Amino acid sequence: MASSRRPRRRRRGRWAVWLVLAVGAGYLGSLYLTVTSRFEGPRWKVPSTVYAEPVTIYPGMDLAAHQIHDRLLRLGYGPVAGGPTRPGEFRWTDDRLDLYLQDFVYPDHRVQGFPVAADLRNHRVERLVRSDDGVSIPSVDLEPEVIAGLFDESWEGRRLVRLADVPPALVDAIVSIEDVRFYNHWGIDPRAIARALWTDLKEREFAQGGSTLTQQLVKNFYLTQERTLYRKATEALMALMLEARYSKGEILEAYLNEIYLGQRGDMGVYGVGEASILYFGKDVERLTPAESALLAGMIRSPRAYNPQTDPDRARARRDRVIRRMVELGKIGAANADAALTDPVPTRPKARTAVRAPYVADVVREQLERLYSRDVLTSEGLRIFTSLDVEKQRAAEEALRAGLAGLERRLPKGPEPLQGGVIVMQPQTGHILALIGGRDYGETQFNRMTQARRQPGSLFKPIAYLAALRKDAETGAPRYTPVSVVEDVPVTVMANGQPWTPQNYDKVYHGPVTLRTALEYSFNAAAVGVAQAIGVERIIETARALGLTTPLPPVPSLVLGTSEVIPLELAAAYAVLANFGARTEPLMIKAVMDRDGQVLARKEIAVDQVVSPEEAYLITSLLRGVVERGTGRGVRALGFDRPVAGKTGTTSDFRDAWFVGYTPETLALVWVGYDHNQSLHLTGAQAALPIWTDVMRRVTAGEPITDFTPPPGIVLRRIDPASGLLSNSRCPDAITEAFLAGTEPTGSCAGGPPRFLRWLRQVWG
Amino acid sequence: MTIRVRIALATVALLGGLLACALERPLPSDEPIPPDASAAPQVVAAYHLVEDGRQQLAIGQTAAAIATFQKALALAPSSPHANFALGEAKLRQADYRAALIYGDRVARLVGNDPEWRRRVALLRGQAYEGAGDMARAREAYLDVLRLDPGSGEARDGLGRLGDAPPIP
Repeated sequence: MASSRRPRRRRRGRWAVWLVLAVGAGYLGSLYLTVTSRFEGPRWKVPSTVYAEPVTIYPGMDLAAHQIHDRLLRLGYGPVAGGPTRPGEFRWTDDRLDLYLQDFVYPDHRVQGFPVAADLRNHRVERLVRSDDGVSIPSVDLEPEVIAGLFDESWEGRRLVRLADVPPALVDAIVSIEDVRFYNHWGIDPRAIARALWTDLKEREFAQGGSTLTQQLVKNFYLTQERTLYRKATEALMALMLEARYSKGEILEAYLNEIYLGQRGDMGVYGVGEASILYFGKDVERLTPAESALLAGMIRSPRAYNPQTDPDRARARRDRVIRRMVELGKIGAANADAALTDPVPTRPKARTAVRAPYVADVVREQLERLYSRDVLTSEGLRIFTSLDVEKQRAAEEALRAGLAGLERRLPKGPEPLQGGVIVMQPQTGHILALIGGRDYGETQFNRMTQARRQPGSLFKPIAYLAALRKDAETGAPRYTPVSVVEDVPVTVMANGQPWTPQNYDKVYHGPVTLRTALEYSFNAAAVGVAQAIGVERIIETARALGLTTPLPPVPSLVLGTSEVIPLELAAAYAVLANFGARTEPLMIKAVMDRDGQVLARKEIAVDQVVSPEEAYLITSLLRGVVERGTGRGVRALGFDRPVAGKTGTTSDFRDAWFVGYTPETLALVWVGYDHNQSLHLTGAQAALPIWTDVMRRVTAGEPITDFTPPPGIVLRRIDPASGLLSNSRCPDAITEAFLAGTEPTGSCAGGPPRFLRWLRQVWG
Repeated sequence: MTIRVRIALATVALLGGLLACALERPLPSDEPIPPDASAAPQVVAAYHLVEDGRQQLAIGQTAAAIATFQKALALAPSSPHANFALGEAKLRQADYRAALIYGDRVARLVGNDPEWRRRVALLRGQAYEGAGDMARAREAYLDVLRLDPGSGEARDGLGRLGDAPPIP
């Protein structure tokens, strides 16, 4: 019995050995597969970066008005006492700005940072000169600010570099300080491990790792950061496999792109490519030996050795790296001495960037029509937008302050008051600022691009435009700005029920000019005009202006009862500002891949949808809204540029609007609640003050321009009461615009002649 | 070769020739018109950008040139130079409606400056001609000749329209 049991036991033992060997082989095989599959596939998911519009500095520019100082700090430029000697430094005095531009790859060209000097007088640039050759230049661009990243889990900023582009001094510095036997070991360094173990035993803690560059790469690339013996053993095995399969050069290149080197706000900085831009403002290939040593020294602890937060400690660490390089013969004594005397970049940590999350969502949504989500979050695309960071910031501040002020006046509601702002440039369609809600963290719903809201009286100018347009059959318009319309009770059928619109002041004003009806936003008059010209004609005009939402042909349409998308409404008003030419609202200007190839470029698309003269007539009427009508609060609040605008309020005060434009800038503001509670405030009370604040801020430093009448417009002095040409009998004349050939020919009857009025004044 | 293939080849050759003629036709600008001393700083900066864009255009970097013109326009929407350069670019791209819009903008911005008016009229003439609106093209070319009786481009334009060029 016993003898028969022994061979069975032996057989079992053999099986167990085979099983262990098989499991071990399987484990090693799976590790090997893990190592090779990830290393040979796309190694990193590089998020796409969204940039704002770069700022152009030119002679005559008011640097204070354009907040250039703040922009420089946000871009990571640091003030220095002497003249700037390296990219990312500047010196600002009363009469001069010296600036060393940072490297940047634009869609059309690559800029290698160079020094610029601007002579200033009262913050205004008098002359721009390249400081390196003394040549005058007409303008210079500050590189664009990053406003968002498109990523899945975490924002890892990374600019991939090739080993061939990395200066040898940087490689030498890293190898000298991190893994001196890198070129001689097989992935693990027994001597380094023994030394680390000895240190750990002495210190009685598990602190020293003795990791080679290959092990560090494995740890960061494949494994977690936990400190266990099992993880350490796996790391060692994988390091051996990596070394067996790939060349030292391939491993080193991966390492240089993988290592973590600090933070830029909410973005992690990974790899030497991104880090050299962050800390030195230039591409990695242009790093000096001193800068290389500084970067190499940071690898051990990017936070502790950060030159932006602790320059003394960073310098000590850098000097240690340089001395180690000297010991190893990686740098000559003369070069080392020069590197040791090189000052550490002292610029402070970049000021918190302006983030535009609602803009990022719009960009992502638009780009997802062209690229998969995976491409957007992993291919490192660089997306250039029209957003103006300062205008965005200004609009955010104005909205925040405006809503807070309103909430102090309003009874506390069940939900926070919401608001949104769009700032556009009518001639280009560029969206300069976009705020989709009060707090992106609370709710990501974009009330400017995703919401559909009733526009209220903001729709009236569209109806009046339809009334002022030339009729296709007769070739003449039905109305002119001085046509008399009746603001009287009018009853129309709506949904099978009689409906009699009322005015805001509950008063009917009888016969008034079309101008007066719009300036004071009379509802009854607007419905009368709509009835006269036909709702279909209004819908046709709305479509021409770019409104795409359903517009049922009902009489109340003219009062803005059909919901619209706020961005489309802003674009429709931009047509009026742009003399009838519609420019497609444009946010994304260009998309570039990580190698600098332009993948897509969006040109300004423009189409004449209304004649310049007809558009000008509405602009002229909307200027009256601001001068005399419901929008006169704009003037009362001190905004004195030539401007056209319109208030809007919907039934039960659910929405408050104001949209208005100067010849070069348009802004739309909406205030309301997501669930349609009543604001108890009109557009003039709730939205207009915010709009005025927005426009005051975003037009600061811009030239003041006026609306120039196009050639088919004639201007006449008109008696506003009768709509006839003015004369000495009706002195309170205004200048009115007409399509040529439609101006009145008769003169007002008025009161007594001016001479008689004078006599009456003299004689009491 | 069948008759259909021959007709197709001839049509392609004809269209190619017409396209080549359109591209070869001189554009309605020559020497730059510097902005006057009262121009806003943005307008002056836009002028210089437009000149950069023209150089890009001259070396065949059309997309980059248009991007530069658009940058100039964004910097100074009331720049006649930026608007005119975009009008020319649109003319090259055979987007005649857009070329006319930019031309109209320039006309509004420059008032009665005769040199600008001449250039805008020529731009309009070529845009209308390209769009097939021969009556308006003729009118625009005649406008050019009223401002510059020696204009070869306007005379050529009228010639293409089948009108005998008036004697300068």
